[in-house]
Amino acid sequence: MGAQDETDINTWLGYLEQVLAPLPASEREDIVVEARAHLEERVAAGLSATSALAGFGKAEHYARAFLDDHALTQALDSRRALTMAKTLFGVAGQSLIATLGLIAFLVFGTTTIGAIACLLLKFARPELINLWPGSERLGNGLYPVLVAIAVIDAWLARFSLVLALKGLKGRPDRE
Amino acid sequence: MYKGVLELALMRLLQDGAQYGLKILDGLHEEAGLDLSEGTLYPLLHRLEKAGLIKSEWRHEAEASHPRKYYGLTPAGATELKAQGDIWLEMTERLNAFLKRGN
Repeated sequence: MGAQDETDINTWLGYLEQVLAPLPASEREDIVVEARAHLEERVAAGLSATSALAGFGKAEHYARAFLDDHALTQALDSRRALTMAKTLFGVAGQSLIATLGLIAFLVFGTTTIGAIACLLLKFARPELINLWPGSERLGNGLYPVLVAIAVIDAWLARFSLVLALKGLKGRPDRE
Repeated sequence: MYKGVLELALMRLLQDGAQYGLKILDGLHEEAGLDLSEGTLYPLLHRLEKAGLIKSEWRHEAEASHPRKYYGLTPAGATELKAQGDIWLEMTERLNAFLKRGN
């Protein structure tokens, strides 16, 4: 391998290693070593480093798929709604699944908060509640209805996030 | 749909035996007519491995200057290949019949 080819490959691999920094060290090393072996074999077969590197594209683009997959796994493993929502927000611009998941999360999250707010208000200031025109029809029956809405919608909000994350993980890349 | 075909072809190739990245690229090109780039192949291998459909191991071979990472199909991958392959064959059979209708 020529000196220039070696320099080009080392520069690209060095940058790849940098952008893969969020990954665990063993995983990062695996990706870099495998890319190096591939590139050096291509060059040994007569290809220039530039041509061999063209197949991988820019290091940050190549790393993106690994990083996104890692972020999705981390978010799912965290089991935290806010972490999952934040991860989906990060890829929402590239993915319809992520966007729909976030919209569903916001809709169900808002109705959950609304139900809890109504519940608290009904408890604290029953005279202010008048959800329907005319008289209050449910009376104290409003309590279990609001609790049920809050619980079901909170579950649906979380389920929307999990479903979107699993949907994204099941795809080769996000476009 | 094209992405699903890539997975299917890749798993079918690995059903014949474990291969490393460069040979997988060449195999898919020569045997399936699929021109993948390295930038598509390796993240796909990574994802399939995480999903448990394929497994990998590093091998040190005498003729190679670097160790090579070989990928092989897992039992779960073989089951998935059978299921997806059947769906694909049925779909293409019906589509072919539809396209040839009246010709």
